[in-house]
Amino acid sequence: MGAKPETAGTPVLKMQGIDKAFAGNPVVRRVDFSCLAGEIHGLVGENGAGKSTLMKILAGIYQPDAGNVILNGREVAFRNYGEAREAGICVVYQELSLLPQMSVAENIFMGRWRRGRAGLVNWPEIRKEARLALEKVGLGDLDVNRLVSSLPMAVRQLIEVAKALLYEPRAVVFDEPTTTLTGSEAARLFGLMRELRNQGKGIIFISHRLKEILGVSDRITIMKDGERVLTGPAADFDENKLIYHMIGRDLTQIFPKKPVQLPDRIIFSCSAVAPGGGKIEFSVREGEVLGIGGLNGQGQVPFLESIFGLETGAEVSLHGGSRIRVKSPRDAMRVGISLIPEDRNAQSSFPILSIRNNIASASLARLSAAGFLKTWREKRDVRKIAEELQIRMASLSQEVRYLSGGNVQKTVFARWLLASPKVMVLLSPTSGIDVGTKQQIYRLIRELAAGGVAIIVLTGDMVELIGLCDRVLVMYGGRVSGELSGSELTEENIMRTSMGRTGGEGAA
Amino acid sequence: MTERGRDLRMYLPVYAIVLAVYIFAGWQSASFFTWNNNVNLFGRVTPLILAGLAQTVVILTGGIDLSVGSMISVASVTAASLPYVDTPANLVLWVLVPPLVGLAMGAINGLLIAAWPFPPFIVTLASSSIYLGVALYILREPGGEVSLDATLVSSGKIYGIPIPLLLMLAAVAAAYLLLSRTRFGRSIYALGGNETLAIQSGIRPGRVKFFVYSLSGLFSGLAGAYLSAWMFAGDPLGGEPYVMNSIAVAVIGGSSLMGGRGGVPGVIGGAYIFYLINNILNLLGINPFYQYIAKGVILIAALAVSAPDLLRRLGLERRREQ
Repeated sequence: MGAKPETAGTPVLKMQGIDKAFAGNPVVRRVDFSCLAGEIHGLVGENGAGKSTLMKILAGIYQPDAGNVILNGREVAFRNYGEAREAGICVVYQELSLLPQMSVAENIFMGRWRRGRAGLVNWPEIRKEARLALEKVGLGDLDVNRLVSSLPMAVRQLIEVAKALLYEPRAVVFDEPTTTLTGSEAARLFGLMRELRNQGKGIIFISHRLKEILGVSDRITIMKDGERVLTGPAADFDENKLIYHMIGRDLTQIFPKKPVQLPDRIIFSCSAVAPGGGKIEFSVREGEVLGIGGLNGQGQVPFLESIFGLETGAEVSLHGGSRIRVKSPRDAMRVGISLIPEDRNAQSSFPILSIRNNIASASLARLSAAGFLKTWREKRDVRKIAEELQIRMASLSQEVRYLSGGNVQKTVFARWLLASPKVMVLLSPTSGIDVGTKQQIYRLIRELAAGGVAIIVLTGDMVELIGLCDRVLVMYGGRVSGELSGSELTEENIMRTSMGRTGGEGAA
Repeated sequence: MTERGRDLRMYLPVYAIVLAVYIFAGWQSASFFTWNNNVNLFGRVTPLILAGLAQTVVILTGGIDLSVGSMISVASVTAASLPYVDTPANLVLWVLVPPLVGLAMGAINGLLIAAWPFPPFIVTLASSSIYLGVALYILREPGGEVSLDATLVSSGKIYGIPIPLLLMLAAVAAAYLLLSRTRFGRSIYALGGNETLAIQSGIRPGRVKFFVYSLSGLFSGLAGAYLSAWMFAGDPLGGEPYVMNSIAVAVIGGSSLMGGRGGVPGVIGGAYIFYLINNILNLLGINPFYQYIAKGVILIAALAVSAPDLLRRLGLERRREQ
């Protein structure tokens, strides 16, 4: 470790007055950010605070609407990641960019093949250089001919770093690198980050694990709602202070009123296998909207999909009836459970089929007799629901892929509404849609709950959890780490339970 | 109704080409527009339409059936090998047996594809070879006998309407009803449109696949029986050209090889384009090797025009995005 080089303390990179909006929604607003040579700069904020967007602008993946990026005292405007990388900015992502079916050496030199005689790839040279690159990240004894798919996640992460270091970067961004790592693996990565810092590189570190941020960073920047709240030396912060600055805002008034008192009648109860081991038992009362919260990837999606008969099927019971094991989506639909998937474009619609086909697809049994569709009835019902939801379309024959994101989401809702479900599981129902549509969807969810449908909503948006839900189960590490309702339902509490007070695994 | 209009507008490019080719043919040959020539045309296009339907139902799910040709061959030699007795009972046999043989072969494909995660391309490539062997086992070379009653099917008339036309219309109507008016039809499109979501919508993909490959066998069987009646004989290699031709017909007719897009009106148009191009090249007396080249070039041109989104790309259609 020892003495820092003399360049320490001067900014490697500076971002000034960065603005970025998607489809009119500002995601990053007037953000100033800098990273010094020889520092680890922690960047924290809730989901959707704009951290990742800011880093993508830095890496040339997005172009800012306003503001400028200064690298080593010179203004730069990258058109893509390749340009940023050549200029000295590298990003190590949580979802790795390695090709599993190729060897370690091939991955490290992907796209920058060393050529030898006759223009052929010079394998001995590549293997030698790959070994050198791996030594720098403490993997000197790794066989460079092994397939990446045979290596554990932690090693892959280090290979990713080795690959980045080949470009001799001045700044390295680590975007949630520890999500898939165990405690000791993460510690190894932090050691490497410190070493890089001591070589005078600027390190930007994004993580949801606040203990890690506090333990590794020299300075910390907090972002919220696309703005930079505060930057300061890590020594000035503790976990509570970070949480306070990351949240602490008024709930916007876009949510429908919650019922003051819910009847005690349980309309849905469920016992599912918890992804983190054990069981998750819960129930939903009549009129209740149950929220599922927590950081990304804490097992919420597999847990909720099990209610719909994907993964290991859950046992469910409706209106106090007998317990049924849901083994397939077909079983789930038969008892009246519907699921609105997360990834709107790839998963939740039939993009090349018509709106009519899309909306009717989950209700075909009801809309047909002896196998034949009652097309007049289908058209009438589909048209009615499309009008109710105000889907903006040219006609019912229009293909869904030509609709805007918000309208696609409405067709997804329409499909499941038409199937008149008794239980609705919604995975991030409002991600990536405009505020107006969001408000409509919140109102719809409330109306459905009031009409006797058991509603379970997964959302990464804290404001939504608090504004929309009557009760929230927070998940961490594949288990429920907290249940909050009424006055306990605050951002601080959600944040604390999300950090898994019960188990600090992986913290530095 | 505007909606119906929009549904059919998808096939506009295909029929524009049919019309253009038809007019061109008429301009080249004075006899082209005669009733007799057109009746003859119906007779010749029918097997292509049947094979195109066989291929299209499978392609709609995102699969492919490379055994269509061999199944047609087996059905055709079966038809020509039925016990020859000139009674109505023979006609019944002729009408029932080859299509059922086709159905059975298709069901075997369907079972293999539905029960295991085998890619349809490989399964039907393999079964195509097996069925070809079966066809050659039944009849070593073109031959056999087809009852006179059966041959009426390809050349006879009822109230002046050619029987092939009636048959073709019946098959086409059944296929159209199935694809656009039944639950099963919707399941086919859903499976091709997004398999994951189809499963989440309660569709059992294995079942749908089993049925579409069976259906493909049934249509192939009908095509084979028809061919035997047309040629007064069975031909163990007669089906082979229909593998590629059926795929060409499906795709010219607007089907997407990715699944989820296409339909019966497209198949009819596609078959007509395909056959008329052949016909014109013959009429013009063009050398066979030039014919092959011209056919390929014309097919690609037809594809370019009938491919979805082309109108949009050319800016001929109003943008509907909002």
